Amino acid sequence: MKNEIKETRLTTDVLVIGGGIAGMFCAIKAREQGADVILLDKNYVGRSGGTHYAEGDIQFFRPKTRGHVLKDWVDKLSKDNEYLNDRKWHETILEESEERYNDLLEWGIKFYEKDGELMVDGPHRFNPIPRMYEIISMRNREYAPSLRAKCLQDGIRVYDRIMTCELLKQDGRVVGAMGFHTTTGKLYTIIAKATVMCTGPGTAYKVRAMNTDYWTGDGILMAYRAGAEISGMEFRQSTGGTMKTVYEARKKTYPGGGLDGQKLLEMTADYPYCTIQSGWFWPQITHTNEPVKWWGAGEIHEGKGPVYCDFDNMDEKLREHHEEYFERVGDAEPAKIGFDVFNGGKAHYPSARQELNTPIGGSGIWPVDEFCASTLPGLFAAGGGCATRVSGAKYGGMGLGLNSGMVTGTHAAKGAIDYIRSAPDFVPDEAMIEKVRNVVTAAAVRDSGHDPAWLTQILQHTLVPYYVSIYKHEDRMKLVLPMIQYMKDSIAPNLWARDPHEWKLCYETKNMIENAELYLKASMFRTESRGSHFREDYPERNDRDWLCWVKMRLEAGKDIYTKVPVPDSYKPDYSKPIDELYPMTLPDVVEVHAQKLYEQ
Amino acid sequence: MPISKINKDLCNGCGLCVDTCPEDVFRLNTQPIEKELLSPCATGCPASLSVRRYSYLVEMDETEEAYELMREYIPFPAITGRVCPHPCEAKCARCEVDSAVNINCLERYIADKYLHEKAEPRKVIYLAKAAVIGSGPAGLSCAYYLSRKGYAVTVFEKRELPGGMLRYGIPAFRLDKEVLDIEIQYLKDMGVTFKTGVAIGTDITLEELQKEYPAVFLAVGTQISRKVKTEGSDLAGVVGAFDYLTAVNAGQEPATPEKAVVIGGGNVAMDAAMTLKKRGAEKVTVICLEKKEEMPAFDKEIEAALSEGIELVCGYGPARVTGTEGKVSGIDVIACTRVNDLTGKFAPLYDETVNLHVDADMICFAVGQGVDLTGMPEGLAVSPSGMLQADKLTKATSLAGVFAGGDAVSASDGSVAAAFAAGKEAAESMDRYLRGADVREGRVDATVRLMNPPKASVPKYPRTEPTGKDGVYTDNEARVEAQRCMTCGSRAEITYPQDCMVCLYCERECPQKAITVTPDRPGKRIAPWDLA
Repeated sequence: MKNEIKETRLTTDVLVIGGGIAGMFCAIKAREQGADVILLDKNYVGRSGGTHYAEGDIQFFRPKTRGHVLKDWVDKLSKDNEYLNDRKWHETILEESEERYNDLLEWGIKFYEKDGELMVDGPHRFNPIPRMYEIISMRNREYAPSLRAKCLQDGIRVYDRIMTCELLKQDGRVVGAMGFHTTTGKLYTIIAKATVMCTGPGTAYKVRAMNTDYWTGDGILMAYRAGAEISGMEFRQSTGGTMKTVYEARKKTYPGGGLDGQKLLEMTADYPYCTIQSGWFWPQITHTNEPVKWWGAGEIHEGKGPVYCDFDNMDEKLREHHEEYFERVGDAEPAKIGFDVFNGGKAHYPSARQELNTPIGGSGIWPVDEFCASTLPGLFAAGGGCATRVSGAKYGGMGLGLNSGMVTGTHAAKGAIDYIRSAPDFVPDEAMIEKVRNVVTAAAVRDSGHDPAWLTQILQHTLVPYYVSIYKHEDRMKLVLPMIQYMKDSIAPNLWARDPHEWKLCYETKNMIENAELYLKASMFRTESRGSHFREDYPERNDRDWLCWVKMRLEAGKDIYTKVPVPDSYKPDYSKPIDELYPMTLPDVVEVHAQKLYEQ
Repeated sequence: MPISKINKDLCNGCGLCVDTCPEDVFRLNTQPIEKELLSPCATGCPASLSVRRYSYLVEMDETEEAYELMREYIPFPAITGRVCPHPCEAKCARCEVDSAVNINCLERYIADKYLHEKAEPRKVIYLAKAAVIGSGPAGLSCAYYLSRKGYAVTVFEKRELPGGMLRYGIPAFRLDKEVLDIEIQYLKDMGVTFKTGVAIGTDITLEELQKEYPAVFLAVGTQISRKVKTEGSDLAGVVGAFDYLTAVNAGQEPATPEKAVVIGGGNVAMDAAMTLKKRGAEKVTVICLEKKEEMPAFDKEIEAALSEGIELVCGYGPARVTGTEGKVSGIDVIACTRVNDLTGKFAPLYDETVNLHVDADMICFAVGQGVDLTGMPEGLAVSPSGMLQADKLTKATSLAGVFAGGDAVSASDGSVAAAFAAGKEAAESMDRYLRGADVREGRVDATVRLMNPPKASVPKYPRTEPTGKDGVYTDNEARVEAQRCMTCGSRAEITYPQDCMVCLYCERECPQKAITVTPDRPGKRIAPWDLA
């Protein structure tokens, strides 16, 4: 397709890459301040990213009317996030939640209500445990398309189906990006005074689990290649607390006493809140985790199982709740996926890959200030791609994703506008653009090469086994890393795209491989276990050495690691007993370093 | 079980699955094989312009391709983009969601973007030459498509400048004559020859012309303004509306009356009334037989006239023109109780007891036009009302090698788009005729099958009005408006099933329930089992 590549060039003030909630908020806020804004997405703005799958939950902090106490709330989040969360960002996000809520109201977004009141705890919460905080819910499947309509009406230049590939950088600053249209194959060079990356987190897989298949970390990898600092790579590949997986599997704490052929639904009697997320039955416990997933991994690793749900004995109350919920959310028919919740049956949960999804750990591009500026001038980040550490060592909790998307989007917009006002004008460097063009179009212009789908498969077969990605050990990671690097150095550069769709696959595959590499490197670097990062060779938490964030950056082809200790005020209160600080303390592991801290 | 099929009978082409799929599995085919799947807008367009295709191309940021596509249907979209009354918009399925897609402004946006592109000279590949008589919209269209097909085309025009109705009939405030000149220059650059000041029938007969040009397209239009024969209709100050408009457009600066009455309820009446008003007439009254809601003029035109302060007197017909000293002083009108008889034939009935007198120093008749048949051969079939007769589909007349279209043919609805379409169809027929092919083969009227257009599933957002220079869309406005098109009658196609991750969002979002992901895999059993 060498001679067929058409080109177009766009110029703007603020380029927002990614059309999820962070991207749309950032675009709307930047536009409000009079900037010309281009909003890109590799799929379709308003139906893309994690936002399309998010159910619309927002953590809603109302100290005046509801008596919420900021410190209590954030303390709870710290405990959930195993103390690697950034409390300052948490406070910001909670304090600004009402402002953002008012924005949404003003833009015509509808919330679930009951008896004229906002429906607190979302539409589907069925939780007997009283909460110290509230979650309210936007109307699922409506809010994101409505925000898109708002973007269009505001005159934001929305471009769908643009796969952004590389950042443009000159004189040490980011001046835009280059990508292509995944349907027409047209090359887009976008010159921008400021660029905001709202591309969400990233995984190294495309597996069918919780629909996060397309989070290939394009934005973070783009920024990394351009020299920006990123963080949290060791936590990023899985949702939940792997520590919890191990804990539950070893302690057998659930009613019924173990995992051997256990009936999950009976066991989850205390945690009776299940959803069907577009095809996957997904029993959950409160907001923090999904037991099925823990047990999925435990089933294999601890030699237990098989685990299944038995719907024959479903509680009447639970059934009513399900029926109401399904009707409201309008999800896919349960029968479609092999069982029918309402008519009995069994559902089995295969293997550890259940654990490999939703990378909402505190990963992404490292923000240097409260306006989400990256270490590269001209580059900002918001949402899941910005390492605000509102999720620390694991998934932060229901509603945090949308909350932080809205708040960081708003902050990044302000940061970008302020930057534009002070940054000097520039003339795009054509030689630099030509260089980037050669990189971007490489897969499209060659006449033969590898199939990206094949390479994706190889990558997944290498990385996905649970003994690499969930139960980590240096020995195994050391074996896998050279294979990943071989793919990166020898196969990925020779991918061939026969059409624009494959061109997109080529870039995603390349990004997933680089993701995998950084994941393994960061995982080897952190010699402790915490949250969703579990090392069999270092199973204990090490507060003394590792209550810190790890930043990585690329310098002259080398990865540079920097440890950033969390502020003392973020650390747990060591006067309390250890199992209160870390409820998931493993039975057969002594939290040595924490103990040492006690003694000091 | 990746997605393997979409129920074609249910799919209405809204494209929601294409937008929703996170893995880029689908493509939207805006021109499915089943030709009968016209969109509602295309059924409203005299030229059957595929609006959904060009809207989708604009959404995809492919305006150049949209322009190329448009020219398959309309030779000069910059002209229709300005003057077309866009009956397509009334049919737009989006009317039922919020409001119609602004099809006309999109057309103009695309057309204006490429208006100044220079034409490449077309290669002449056939020896046979074609003549087009009349350089109005039908004639220009025919010349354009014939030239594209590889014929040497000569356009004959009676007047000094080519353009016909576009130049002399349509007021300048509706069509900038510069645009017309650009398009005519485009034709000239393509290789079309224009011979102006040549009247067929007087300067040269049709028979003589046919010797050199074996295929001829008669697009002579309607040049004679009809008047209602009443007492006083030969007084000075009684004029035909088209004659008056022609004189204005030709720069002859006819005298402007203080008070004018326009008789007629069609678009020409509105144009004449607006032109009189714009040229300084103090009071302009339009009198027509029909009730306001039955007036043949487009609603938009009537609204425009009313907003200019033009008075409308509906349901009256002329009884006599009054005058003093051989000059018009006013008109007596009587109430019209019925316009057409039960069969729909024009047969007005009047009630003389209800009457009015309107003062005027000019009476302008806009009650229809006739074809000037001077010097036309005997064998040319003419309808009872004096129009040329031509086949609806092929535009063939009763004479071999002679085709006719545009306003001169009785079936025409008088719009520029219809004239463009007639010219295009005539060009197709002339091409076939000259090559000795069957003129009719494969050109049946498409059976129109309308899809259930998407409704409830479509997010509402308001119609975009252009804010750019000269009332043209900015790039972004056009892309936003194009996205409002629901691409009715397109087909979603599963292009990359191997990338399906079975998230089932397509199934969940499909408003037509046309997608059901099942384990059924299409295709036949393959070897080695076949050996058994």
